[in-house]
Amino acid sequence: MAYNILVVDDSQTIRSIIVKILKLTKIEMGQIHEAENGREALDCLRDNWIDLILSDLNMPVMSGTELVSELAKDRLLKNIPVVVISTDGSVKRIEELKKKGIREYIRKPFTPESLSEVIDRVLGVNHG
Amino acid sequence: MDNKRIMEAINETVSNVLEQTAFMFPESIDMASGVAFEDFEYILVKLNFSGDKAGEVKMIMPVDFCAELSANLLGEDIGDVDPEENNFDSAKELLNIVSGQLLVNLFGDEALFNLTDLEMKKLEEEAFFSIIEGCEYHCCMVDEYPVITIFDLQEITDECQSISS
Repeated sequence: MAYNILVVDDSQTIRSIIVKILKLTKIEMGQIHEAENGREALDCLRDNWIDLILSDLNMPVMSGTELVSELAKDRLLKNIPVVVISTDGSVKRIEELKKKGIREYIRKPFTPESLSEVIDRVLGVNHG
Repeated sequence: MDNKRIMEAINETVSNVLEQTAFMFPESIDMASGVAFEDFEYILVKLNFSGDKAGEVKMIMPVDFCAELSANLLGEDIGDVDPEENNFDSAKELLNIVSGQLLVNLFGDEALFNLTDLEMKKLEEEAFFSIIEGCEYHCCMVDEYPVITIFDLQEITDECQSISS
């Protein structure tokens, strides 16, 4: 099965790094979409089938926290797994986001291995 | 919070972030070590933090360092990247990651912060020296480039704290 992934981050550099890592994983990739903020992500989600969202938190226009809240309200989108990738190191914020439904949290800076492991776990992919 | 603790935290954080993200290995230097600061053209990136504590984090780095940083972050040849093309996005992201890690390093992972108002500007020589002569800063050499970090913690009075709570 090929997975479609949406990468949401206002930094073009970070989006490029994540896309490169995704292409190096053993996961079979479908389409990789990119969005600069939560609003663009919602627009993308209306037009495309997405299996996994990788999102930053601090973004202009619509933050990652707002995006997660919007997804939770939508019966079609609320089951898409969200992995937050952020510089925010607060345990309280991670707990709040997990209550809102995010599946995993990765703190920047991250390694290709850590990102790859989390994606495997969330998608339930077993390479063995 | 004493300045020595802040400088140690900056040194550890900047080193860790540059090593992990860009395979760059900074060397901390003394402020009085005679770096030829005037040899470079600089940019300034800064952001505000608010929440359990408030203040500002600034980083000042040579434009040529930004090209090397972008290339290393993206795994590309230095000739293939133009840091100005994306408005020094790599430098802004470096500041973002350093700030997040530094706040955890200084105040622990129970503290809550919001990072806002990320800005970038090029610095004229006069503005560069005006900034570094007016404050305590951390400087490290990354390859041949000086990279400066300034951490300003805003003192919040008891009155302000009671209003905000």
